[in-house]
Amino acid sequence: MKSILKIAVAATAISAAGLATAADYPEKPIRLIAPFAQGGSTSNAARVMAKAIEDNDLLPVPIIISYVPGAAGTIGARQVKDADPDGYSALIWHVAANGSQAMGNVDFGPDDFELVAGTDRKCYMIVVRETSEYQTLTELMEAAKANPNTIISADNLGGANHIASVLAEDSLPGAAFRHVQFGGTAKTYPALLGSHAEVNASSPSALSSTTTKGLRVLGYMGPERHPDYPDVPTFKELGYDTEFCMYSWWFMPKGTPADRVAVLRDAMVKAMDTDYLHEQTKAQGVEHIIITGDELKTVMEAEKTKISAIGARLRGE
Amino acid sequence: MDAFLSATGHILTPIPLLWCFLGVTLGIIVGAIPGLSGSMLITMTVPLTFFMGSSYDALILLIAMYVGSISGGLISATLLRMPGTPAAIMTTLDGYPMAQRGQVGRALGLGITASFVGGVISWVFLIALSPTLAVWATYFGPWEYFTLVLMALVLIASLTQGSMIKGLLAGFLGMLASMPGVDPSTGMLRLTFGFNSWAGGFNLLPVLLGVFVVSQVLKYIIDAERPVTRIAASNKGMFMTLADWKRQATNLIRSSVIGTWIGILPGIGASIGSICAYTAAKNMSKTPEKFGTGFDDGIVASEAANNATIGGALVPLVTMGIPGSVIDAILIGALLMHNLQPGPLLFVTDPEVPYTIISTHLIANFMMLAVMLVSVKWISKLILVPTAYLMPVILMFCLVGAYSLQNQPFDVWVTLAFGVLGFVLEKIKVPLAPFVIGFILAGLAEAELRSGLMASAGSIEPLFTRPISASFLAVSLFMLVWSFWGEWRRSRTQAGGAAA
Repeated sequence: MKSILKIAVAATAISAAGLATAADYPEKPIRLIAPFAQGGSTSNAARVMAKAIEDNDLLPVPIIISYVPGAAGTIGARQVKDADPDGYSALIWHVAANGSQAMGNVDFGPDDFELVAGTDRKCYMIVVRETSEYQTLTELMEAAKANPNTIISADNLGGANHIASVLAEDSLPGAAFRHVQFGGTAKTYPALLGSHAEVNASSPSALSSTTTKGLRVLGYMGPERHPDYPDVPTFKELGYDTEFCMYSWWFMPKGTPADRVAVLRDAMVKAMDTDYLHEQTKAQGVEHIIITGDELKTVMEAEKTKISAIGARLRGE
Repeated sequence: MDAFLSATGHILTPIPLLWCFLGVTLGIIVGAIPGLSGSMLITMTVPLTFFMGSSYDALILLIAMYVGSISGGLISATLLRMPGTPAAIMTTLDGYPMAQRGQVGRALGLGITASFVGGVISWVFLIALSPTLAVWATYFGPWEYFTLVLMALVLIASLTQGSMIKGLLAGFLGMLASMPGVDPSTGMLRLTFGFNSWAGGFNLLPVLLGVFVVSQVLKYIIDAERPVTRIAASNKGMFMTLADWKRQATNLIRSSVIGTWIGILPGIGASIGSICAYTAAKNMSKTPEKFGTGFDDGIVASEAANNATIGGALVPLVTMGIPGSVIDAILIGALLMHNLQPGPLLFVTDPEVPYTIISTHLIANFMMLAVMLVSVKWISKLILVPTAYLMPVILMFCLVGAYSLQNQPFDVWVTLAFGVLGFVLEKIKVPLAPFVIGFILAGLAEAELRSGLMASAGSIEPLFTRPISASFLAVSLFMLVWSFWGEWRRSRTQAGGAAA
């Protein structure tokens, strides 16, 4: 009996301690750095999340977003890396967190932060022109194997669409596209329509902005089919073992106390359930998910392995 | 059609009209101040539009700002020889000399009217031909872009007053200055000499502010001892006469069509539209030697074209959801923030949205004409403000503008450094316009050529076999030979005259 009481007391003490920390933190606004210009998809994700948390009182303090654009996000990221680990600094970034390090442009990466969560999954899809001779992914891949380095892939060399295109060709040994620099969606979409390129890897959010008019989606590089494109098979279904998805990564400076990281994470998890966030992610064509815990570690490690291998190959070229 | 009428009907009610007026006026003011640009104004305004009741009103305000800011640049270009926005670079060439002759009203009037006509003509293309034009634009691949830019680069030579060699020299220096930073084709860093801050290269805005504005401030400081000649400004001739209209009709239409087309091509902005139209006007003119001395046709070509690029750039935005210029990219971001996905589906899901954009573009052009013509009386007084008061204010705006571009002190240093360079170049009589044009065009030419070469696996054959690029190439060659021949003939006549 006595011992049970002891446990109960101890439990109360622990939860009281927990309450105390929760009450101390946060007591001033949290500064979230979005290392891109306003209007981009990552900046939008930051704004939407901050608004969902604030409107639903999920945190007692507001989240103030600072936009620090430049050099693929490394300028803003460096500010958070060097900030005090007191729980009042946070960062949202994407695949460039791994990419910038893999390309040798900066000397830090995801390991130099505390990882809070991953949201907004955007898996890439392989698209061709509607009038293209390739009706299925298999036809395209076999053609790329039969005549390697002839089918032009419209890429932003070193960027996400290039990485996705390289991963796609790698899934069939011997297949190779001719990678040509065009740029982002604003350049690759007209390049496909105007027959200047044959194939392009595109994210669903970029595709939904062009509503796939004049394009045919051949294959999806996600783990399962995309809800908005139920007829498009995944690479895995067709026997090509590859996957490429981009996430919004949420970081805090290395050394931020775990309980403070948890406060932000819990608020984000709750925010994901709000109608507002549901609508917004849908409008932007990204998958409405939040990954935390062990899954988060696995997904981040997988991205890191993939990107550093490709980075080494690109640098070697 | 219903959607068009209901969207237009909405804009013609008091509150949207007020937003449109506010947007145009703010745009003109910001456009006229060197250092502040339309993209800054619109970026700063986007977050504020969430507090506006309707997302249509937000769009109206933003589009009106776009139209106003491109138009406002002509004021400072004409009065101070400082392009208020990059789009007004070519306007400095003829607007300023004309104003210096005392014809301030006429210089501004021509620019304002041409802006309006350019805007309206591009609007006609926007509403009537949007879907068709957007498809045509996709026929332009790397080779076509490259030869188009090459044509503009070759024309640099014919642009310059005085020595053609010095013009070419300035062009090459500009191209050189555009090289450091990220290699456009591989994403690797180059020519940064180990400075981390050079990684992003030199941005257009700081370079432009330095070369055109800071250099003028320096010149003023150094020449301040000398008495400044005060010109008698006259507002006469603000409205174009019937004879003017007749003389400029072809030029207006040609420049507007060129501007519209350049606007449609993604990634090339208003400044290039105005460069191309100006050089086309000059090369087709019977009196090319008058360009650059304060000639009507120069102002008209530049201003009609830069405003026409707005309507052109809106074509891919409303039809395909892809941006034709930097400001359009910000507008797409703004649409997303208001939960509207730009693209062809928008015509199906929310047809009022694209038609609001289209109608606002027209109404904002009318409002721009009215606001500018009414305020020109006061605006032209700017030329009478003692330069000693004006210069520090302008310098401050410049440096603040350069800093606010990316919140980086490096851009301020770039502005100052290019200011010194611009000052020195001008002292040794190397013209500044070719420098900036070379700077703008070199990166584009390089990126397109290298894309083309990657696509053709290293062969330059498509340059000659693709019909559009082959004809652009032929035109460039012809113009190069033509300009050298003209120069040679002139020097021979002069030499002959001297001997006699």
